Amino acid sequence: MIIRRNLAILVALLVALPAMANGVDRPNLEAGIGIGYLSPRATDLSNLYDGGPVYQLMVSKSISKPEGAISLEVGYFKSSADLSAPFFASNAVAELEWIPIDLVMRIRSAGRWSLSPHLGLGLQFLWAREHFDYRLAGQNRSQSPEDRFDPGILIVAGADRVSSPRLRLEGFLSVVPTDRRASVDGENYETGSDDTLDAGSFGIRVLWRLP
Amino acid sequence: MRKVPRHTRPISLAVVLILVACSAPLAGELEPYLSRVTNGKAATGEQTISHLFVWDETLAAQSRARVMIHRVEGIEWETIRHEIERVSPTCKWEGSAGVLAQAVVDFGDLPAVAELPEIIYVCRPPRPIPCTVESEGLSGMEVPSFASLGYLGQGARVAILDLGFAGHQYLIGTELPEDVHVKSFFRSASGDGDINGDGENHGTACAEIVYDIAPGAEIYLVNAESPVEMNAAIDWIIKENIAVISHSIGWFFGSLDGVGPINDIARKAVESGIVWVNASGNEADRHTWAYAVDADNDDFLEIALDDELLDFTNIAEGDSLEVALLWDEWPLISNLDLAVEFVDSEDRLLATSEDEFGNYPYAFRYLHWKSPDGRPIAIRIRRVRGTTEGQVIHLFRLGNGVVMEEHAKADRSLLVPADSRFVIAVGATNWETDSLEVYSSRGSIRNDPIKPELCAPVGVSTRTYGDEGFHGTSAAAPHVAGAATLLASTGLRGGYHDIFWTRDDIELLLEAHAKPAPYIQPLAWGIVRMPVEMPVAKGAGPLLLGNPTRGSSHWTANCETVEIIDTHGRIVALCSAGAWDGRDMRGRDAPAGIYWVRCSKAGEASRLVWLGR
Repeated sequence: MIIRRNLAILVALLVALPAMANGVDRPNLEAGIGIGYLSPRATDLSNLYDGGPVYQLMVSKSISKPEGAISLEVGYFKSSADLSAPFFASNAVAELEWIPIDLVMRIRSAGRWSLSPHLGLGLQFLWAREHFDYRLAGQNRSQSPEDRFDPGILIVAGADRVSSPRLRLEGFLSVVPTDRRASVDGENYETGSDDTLDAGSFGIRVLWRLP
Repeated sequence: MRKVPRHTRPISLAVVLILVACSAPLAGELEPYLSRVTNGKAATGEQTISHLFVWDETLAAQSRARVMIHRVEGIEWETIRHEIERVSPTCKWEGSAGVLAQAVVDFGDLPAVAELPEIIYVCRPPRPIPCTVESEGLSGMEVPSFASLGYLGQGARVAILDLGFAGHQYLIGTELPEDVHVKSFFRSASGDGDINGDGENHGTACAEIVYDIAPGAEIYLVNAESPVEMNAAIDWIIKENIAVISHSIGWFFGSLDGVGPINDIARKAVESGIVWVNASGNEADRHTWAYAVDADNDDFLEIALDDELLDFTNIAEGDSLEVALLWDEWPLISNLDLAVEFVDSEDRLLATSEDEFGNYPYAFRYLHWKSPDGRPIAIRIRRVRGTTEGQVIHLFRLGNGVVMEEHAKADRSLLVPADSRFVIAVGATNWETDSLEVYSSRGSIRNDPIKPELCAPVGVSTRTYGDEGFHGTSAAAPHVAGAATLLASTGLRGGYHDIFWTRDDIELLLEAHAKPAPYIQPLAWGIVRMPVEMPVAKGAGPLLLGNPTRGSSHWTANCETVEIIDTHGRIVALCSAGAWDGRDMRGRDAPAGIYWVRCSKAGEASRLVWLGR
């Protein structure tokens, strides 16, 4: 239900924002691919999962008033961690996969040295999947809790190189409030306590804007 | 058009009449006891002997009865319910489970309800029996050492599903947690029944044991008395996300090899992820079974080889004799119909189940008789109709402290639903000696694994039962349920999720860490035991290297029996002090590696390096 609602919001924004931009100006379409470094922000996650590479695809549409662009970006991040386990369990490993789907509006200002700085604000819809492998009584076991899909906000700041190669360097920070869940055999349950969690992240990335 | 030959007309007419007769709706039947009650002919106090059936005295005083209604297949209860309420406007509908429903009906309306064409049978609901008989068993189960690591059952939910929890209110804060949850389906499928279960305190004693083992768990006390109530209770338990059910109850309502309505209810719970722990029953020494054979075609089945009579000689004047007969045809009798009969030494019939259960649709017969003179009698099983081919019959003697005087067979003596392959059945062992209690039901289940899966200590102390100790597999099951609850509270902490072990994981851990007991046969896994941490630095270093010449290992120890424990804390073998042949309990070669040698029930372990055979 939550996933459906979030998807509806996402689709609405995807349709609405470019339409608003179109009303202002005839924008240029551009695409890009990127790579960066991402680290989970919240202690629950960062204590467990190391930061690592995040891969990204981007499409954007320029707008003129204010000068900037609206982008739809999809990333992929994966990390794994050894877990501490009760003494009768062993080889406990958790794996986290994130697919952040970002809808960002960037505003550019006139730059110097062929660089155009920008500041952006947007929505992040974070699909998350956590998987567990462990060994009990000599047998390999695994569990995959239900996937999560949580909305949050995203702030980016960086600069675009105007001349070729058209690169973008920017830092990003997201806030994605969610909650911890108990899970048994793939089914998630409330933990019973007010155990909130920020599934946000921060990092830096380089994006090559395709001609 | 061809003319029908004259001589075929009578035949055609007969066929038509038969077809008409067959297509006419057939009325259901009313249990004879209820018929007598309806006619005011029931003997005073007669109902009290029938503890295998639900009977509410308060309702009876109002000329009403709680009944189980069995409908035909293919019609929804909603449709039939309107019909029932039409013929019995004061009927109080209580719920349904598959083809069974439960309602409170005026005595006077019972015949009309039974005569409805959609109804097969109207009877008193069958009632299970408590498998009766704190716990000193915790130490042998390694619960204290497990708890010392902080595992107390926090966050796990366990339900004790029983007949009644009388007196539990007085134990809250001491023998039971402050925040114990209670929910009663006792004589109320809607869930607002009497948690005290008409004064039954069996569940309270069971809950005490679970709390002894898992004091940090959320404990739910849930009671029910009939199949429909139990179905409602299980639906509620599933909604409450309860991890473990402790059910120290046995039913005579199923085939005893995993088939029947109660087994279906247990299976539903297990398939929703619940660990179901069930007392195996206390019937091993008062049960017999046989393949249904009538070798001499005299309509009396052989209970043992060439013996159609089961003798009871140890009877005193006024003694009550109760027996229950079950066979394979569940959920409804389709072919074979049997009767159980008491006869005297001159083969004169004293009592027969036909009087009460002549048309009982379930493969269950019950007979109760009070001896007027203490003379020996015998039981025989009469084939009323049908063929016996492929059928298995079970005969139980009921009552406290009674045994089957001849032909007793412990094999296949588990009650329902301990006979289900989805359920962990628990047998009883003496908490001091680990020896199997003679009454503990056990045996193989047809086409299914050996039962019980585990044994657990009994004869332990509870506040409810006082100094006498809590005996019977009823006491054993909550020990295993408590152990399962402790395991259910452990797991892994991920970034987003706290993972708890699945039902399969918990069963695997219980199986892997059970203490092997080869002297108890049959027994699938062993005696329940929590995982034990084997500290690497404990002991005085390698006790002995495994025999480099690939023979046996030898050492000296100050005890008769030692446990060989692997690095996961599992007991691999039990052997006499001084030698281990390198084989595990199942006779397989143990892999080379590090093991621990420990005197049974003594704390310190020494390390053993086994080089392999």
